Order: sequence, then structure tokens, then C-alpha cells
Amino acid sequence: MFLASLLVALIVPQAKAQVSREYQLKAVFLYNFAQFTQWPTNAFAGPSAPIVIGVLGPNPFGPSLEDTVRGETVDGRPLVVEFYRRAEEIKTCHILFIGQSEIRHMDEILKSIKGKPVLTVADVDNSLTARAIIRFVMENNKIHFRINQDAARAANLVLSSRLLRVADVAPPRKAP
Amino acid sequence: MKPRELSIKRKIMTVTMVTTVIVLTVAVAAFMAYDLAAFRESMRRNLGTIAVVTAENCTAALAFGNEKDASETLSYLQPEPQIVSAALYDSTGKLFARYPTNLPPGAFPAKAGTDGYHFAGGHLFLSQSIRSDSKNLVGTLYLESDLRYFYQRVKIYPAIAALIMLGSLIVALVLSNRLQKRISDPIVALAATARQVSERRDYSVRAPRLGPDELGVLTDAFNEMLTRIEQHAITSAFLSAIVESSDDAIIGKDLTGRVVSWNTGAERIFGFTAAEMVGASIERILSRDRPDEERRILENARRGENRLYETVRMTKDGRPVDLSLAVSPIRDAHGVIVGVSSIARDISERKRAEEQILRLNADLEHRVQIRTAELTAANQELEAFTYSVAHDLRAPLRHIDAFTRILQEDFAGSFPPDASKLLETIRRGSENMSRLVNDLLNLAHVGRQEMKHKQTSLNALITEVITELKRETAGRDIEWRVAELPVVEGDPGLLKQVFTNLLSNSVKYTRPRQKAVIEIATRAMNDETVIFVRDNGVGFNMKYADKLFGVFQRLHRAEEFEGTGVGLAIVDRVVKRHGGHIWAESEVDKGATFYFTLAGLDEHAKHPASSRNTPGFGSGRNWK
Repeated sequence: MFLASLLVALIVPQAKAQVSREYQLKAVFLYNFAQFTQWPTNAFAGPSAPIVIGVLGPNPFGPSLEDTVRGETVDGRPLVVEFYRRAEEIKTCHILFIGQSEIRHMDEILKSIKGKPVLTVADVDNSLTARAIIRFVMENNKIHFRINQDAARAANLVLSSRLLRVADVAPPRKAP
Repeated sequence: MKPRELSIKRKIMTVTMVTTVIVLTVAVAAFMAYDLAAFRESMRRNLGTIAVVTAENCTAALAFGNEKDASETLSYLQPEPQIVSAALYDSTGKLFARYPTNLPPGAFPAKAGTDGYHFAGGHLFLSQSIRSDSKNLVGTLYLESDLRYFYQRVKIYPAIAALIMLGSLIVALVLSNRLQKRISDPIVALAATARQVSERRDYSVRAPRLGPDELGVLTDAFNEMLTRIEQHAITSAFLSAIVESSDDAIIGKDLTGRVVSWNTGAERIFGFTAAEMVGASIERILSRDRPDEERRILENARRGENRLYETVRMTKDGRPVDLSLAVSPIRDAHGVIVGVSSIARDISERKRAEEQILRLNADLEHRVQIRTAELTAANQELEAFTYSVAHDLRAPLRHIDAFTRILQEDFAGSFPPDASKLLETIRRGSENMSRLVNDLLNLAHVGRQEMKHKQTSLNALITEVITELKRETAGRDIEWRVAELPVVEGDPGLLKQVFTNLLSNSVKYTRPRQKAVIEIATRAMNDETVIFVRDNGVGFNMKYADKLFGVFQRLHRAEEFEGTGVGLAIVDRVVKRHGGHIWAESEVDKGATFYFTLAGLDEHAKHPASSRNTPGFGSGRNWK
């Protein structure tokens, strides 16, 4: 239900008042990414261990992300949202949303999760976030996302071809 | 080709063609039904596959609300011409994307349907839910497929079926026309033979055997039957020729008395033709005065009896005819009596002859009686005459004898010797005559005397006779060989006369013998017991044997052997009165044997004590 209402919002022109609308959509996208991503089994403590969505930096979603995942399951796993202020605080998480303010700590962030199967999702697309696996792009007032498959492979994650169909699959931009 | 031949061939052909058409129709229909079902199923599956692939490709577009991508994905359906429309609905069931895009949204169902498919209006509709990798519902796919191709296929089927039918029927026609000959040819040949047999009554033809199958067996059986019928026909012809040529009436009836066969003999005797009588009741020839006879005859035959009858039947013109009937039951092959055969012979002639003979016999009898009466009267007159003459002669003879004696005694001295000798001769002559008269009276007496019937011992009679012969036998050497003889029923006085005469004859004619042997015994001759008296006397010439038993017949001179010639006549008469007969055998100088039989002697002779035969004496002599 909420998804439908949010999708309707897709076509609404972007405005300051509707920033939260953008993040409402992005929250749904985060939930959808969980649906199209396959983690290695050792990423979880058990068969019903939750998928943890970590939000680094200030929470841009408000309550919408938690509302989106509440009661939902993906492959029998509940979804849990955790918030981190700094990179050091990152614990075990499966999806890591990197807010706009934290992009400058990219090196540090990547270092802290190096070798762990974490789907990194950057809020914006620039040279810094090119090393993230997914990054959001705004085009014609629409939310798109790009996928860095090398990064996904490096993180030992398998992204569904369906996801790839709707994404802009782009080679990683050179880091500055 | 003859119509009958056509019919069996046409039947086989028809059966073959009908079978072929039915089999083909069923096969083609079954095949088409299967093919259409399979085609429909494959269309459905094909559409299902397209739906799965399309849904797969639309999943992320739906999940991420990417309408452009969704429309693009749907446009990939273009190479599938049968898919006339497609649509995507989001997880809330609202229309999300459509194909072709030029169709107005109103052409699509307003809301997503439930999973599944249905056929309607020549179209196949399919709804397929779309799920993410984690099986969460993200939307629904709707597809509409045109079934035109299916119906195109359905439309060309009758043409294909008709073609297959036509081709198969032509092949079946050619094949069955060729193959049916194998069945129809032997049957046609058999039918032709059967027709020949029935039309021409020619049992010598044979049906050709065209194979070793059941038809071959049938043909063999048919031929075998013809052989039997042929033999049977020959036998029948012989039998009916015999029946027809018979002078006797040979009539076949069933057990109710209905005539089944009527030969020419019957036509001749009864005057009815076979055409008139066959099928009619036998009652037409029955005599009205014998109402129950035919029923009895049928009953006897029904019991299995063969019987002969003499009866009377009526001819066509109402004339009675005397018949001898031989009636026998007729049995079928199982031995059940199914009819009666009567063989009737016209015995009218015989009957007439019999009646004539009876008449002649009666006539003859009558004449014999008259003659016998005449003869008896004559005989009695003669005997009465003889008796009276003999009786009347005795008184003058006694006078002659008495007066001659007185002359000899009272005047013995006064006669010259010659006269005395003459007187002596007169006396001897009168004595002879006296004896002769006595014998004649005796003979007459034997003929007239009432017979007594008493059990008489022959041995006792003979002992008596030998004793009485003592006077004649004194001084002679005579050996009596008397066997044990039976006791017979007869007149003892008369029987004694028989032995007295025979034995005194034997004594008389053995007088020249130094030693006389006289044997009395019985023996079996020509199946009867005969008593015989045998001596070794002078015998007689067999030339005169038939004269022996006549009165006054003497074979020897009185100077040699005295006698009156009446004795054997008396013997003959007594033996005859006892129901026997007498005869003699002899040779001159070789003795004589007198044989005689007596009525009832055989029964007595069977007594063991009297059955012994005494062998002949004089071993060198052959007595017959």
C-alpha cells in the first residue's frame, strides 16, 4: 500500500517540501534492493537472522525507512534499521546507506567494511561515490540508480539480473 | 458374372469398405481431437512461457515503478502476432503498463485478475502474478492471445480428413477387391457346384478345393457328402427298382397310418395310384368289417414286432382282396421306430386253390367212405360166408371120420388089406380137412374177435408156447435162445397165437437139422424196435416172400412139411391188429428170420432191461 502511494509520488516534481518524498522513495528502493540481492550464507548468524540496513550519518528518511521495512520479510528474514553517526560505529550490517554528509569519509567507510558482504548505497553519484556498489541518480525528477558490478563482486554479493535491467550499469568512475 | 456370385462378393466388399470407413473415421476423429487438444495445450503452455518470461523481465520495473522499462519489456511481445494485448498491474491491482500502447486503457480489464487462464470468444486470456526474488508480490501480468491460428488449423482438418479418407478408401477398394476373391472364389465355386447338383441332380460333380482353411474343410465336407449321396442314390435306385419290380404291394406308412410310399405292386393290387395314396390315410383300403385290425397292426409294429397276417383289404373299385401281410417297423438312424412297412401279397388265387382242394378232399373223403363201407360190407359177407361154410363143413366131416373109424374097428377082419389102406387114407384126408376147417375158423375168429388190452409179458407167453410144443420137440436136439423181451400191451390170447405159429414153424422147418437153434430177441431197425424169430432151418426162396402171409399159400409140399397154409395168415392178422407189421428174410437152406413190430413196442423197448440186443448165432453167417 505504501509502495503504491510512494510510486505515485515518483512523477511528482521535486520541491523542497518534498525532499522527504524523495527519501520516502529511496527507503522503498532500499527495501527493494534487499529483495534483489543475494548475500553469502555466512553473512548471517542463522537462517532467520535479520537483514540489517545501516544508515550512516544523519537520518534523511525520518520514520519512513523503518515504516517501510516493518513487518516485511525477505527470504524469511526480517529487516532491521540501524543508524550510525560515524564510520567507526558501523557494526554488522548488510545494506549500508551512505548519506550525503558522509561521502567525504568514503575511504574510511570502505576500509571499515572491507572484505565484508555489505551492499553499499551512496545517496549521490559523484567521483567519490563511484566505489559504492549502488548510487542514486536524479534524472528528470526521477530517481535512478547506477550499479558498480566490480564493487558488488568484490563484496561477494550477487545482484539479480532483474535489478540490473532497471539500473544504469556503469563502469566505476575514476576516483579523484 | 451371375447375380448370386455378385452378392457374396458385394457383401464382402461392403463389409470391408464399411469397416474401413468406420475405422478411418474413428481414427481420424481421434487423431484430430488429440491433435487439437495437444495444439490448444501447447498454445496455452506457449502463452504461459511467454508470460513467465515477460513477468520475469518486468519484476524489477514493477518493483522500482519503472513504467518506461515495463512498457519496453511488454513491447518485446511484438514478434508474437497471436498476442493481441498485454498489460501490467501493480501490487495493488492498478493498471501500470500496457501493450500495444496505442490501445486505450479502457480496452484492458480495470483490475488485475487472479492467476490462471480461460478461453473466451476465440481468445485465450491469462493472468500471471509477478513476484520478486524473495517471492513478494510486485504485480500482475495480463495477456490476451488470439486463437485464430487454432481455428485456422481446425478449419483445414476436414479437408485433410477427406483427403485421407478418399486415399484410404481407394486403397481399401483395390485391396479388398483383390483379397475378397480368396474368400468368395471358393464359396462361389461351392455355390456353383451346389446349384449344379440341385438343378441337374448330378451327384458326380465335385467342388474344387481352393485352400486349406475352413472353406477348404467345408468344400471337403461337401464333396464327401456328395460321395455319400451318390452311393446312397445308387443304393436307393437299386432298392426302389427292387421295390418297384415286386409283384407284392410294398407300402410305407408313418405311425399314424398315413401312406408315405406306394409301389407299382400296390397300384396293381389296390387300383389306387401312388399319387392318390401318398399322404392319404391307409384307411382307404381297409375293409369295413375289420374295424380294429389296422390299429392293432400299427400297435404291434410300434412295439417293434415283425408280424405276418392274413387279412382282407378293399380295392379302389370296392372289391375285397385276400392278402398276406408282412408288417415290420421302420427305424431311423437312432433305432427309433418312425414308421411301418407292409408287404402285401395277393393270395386270392391261393385261397381259391385252397378252397378247391378242401372241396376235393371232402369229396374224396366221401367217396372213400362209401367205398370203405362197400368193401367192409363185402368183406363181412365173405367172412360170414367162409365162417358158415367152415362151420357147416365140420358136421359132415365128423360123420365121415366117425363112420370110417367104426368101419375100421367093427369090420377090421372082413376087409381085404387094400380096403383097410383106403379107409386109412379117407380118415387121414378127413382129419386134414378138419384141421383146415378149424384153422379157417380160427382165422375168421382172429379177424372178428373183440381185442383185449392187457399188460402181457412176452417171455411168459414164449415159455408157455415152448412147453406146449413138447410133443413135437420130443426126441429132438433144439437150442432155445430166448432173450429178455418187453412187457407189451395187447391181447394175450392173440399174441400167443403169433408165437405158437412162428415157433412151431421153426420147429417144423428145422426138422432136417441135427441140432436146431431157435432164437427169439429184439433189435433196433430203422429207428424202431423189432422182435424177431430166427431159426437155422431149411429157409425159403425170397422170390416167394410176398406170398408167405397169404391164406393157403404154401412154399413146401405137404409130403415134406405138413401144414394148412393158414398159420402165417393168422400171425399177419394179429400183428396188424396190434398196430404192427411183419416180414421175413431167408435163403434156401440157410434158415429164416421173421421180424415183426407192435404198436407201443418202442416205449417198452426203452426199458433198460429189454434193450439188450442179442448177437446173431453161427458166427460165419451174415444176418440182415
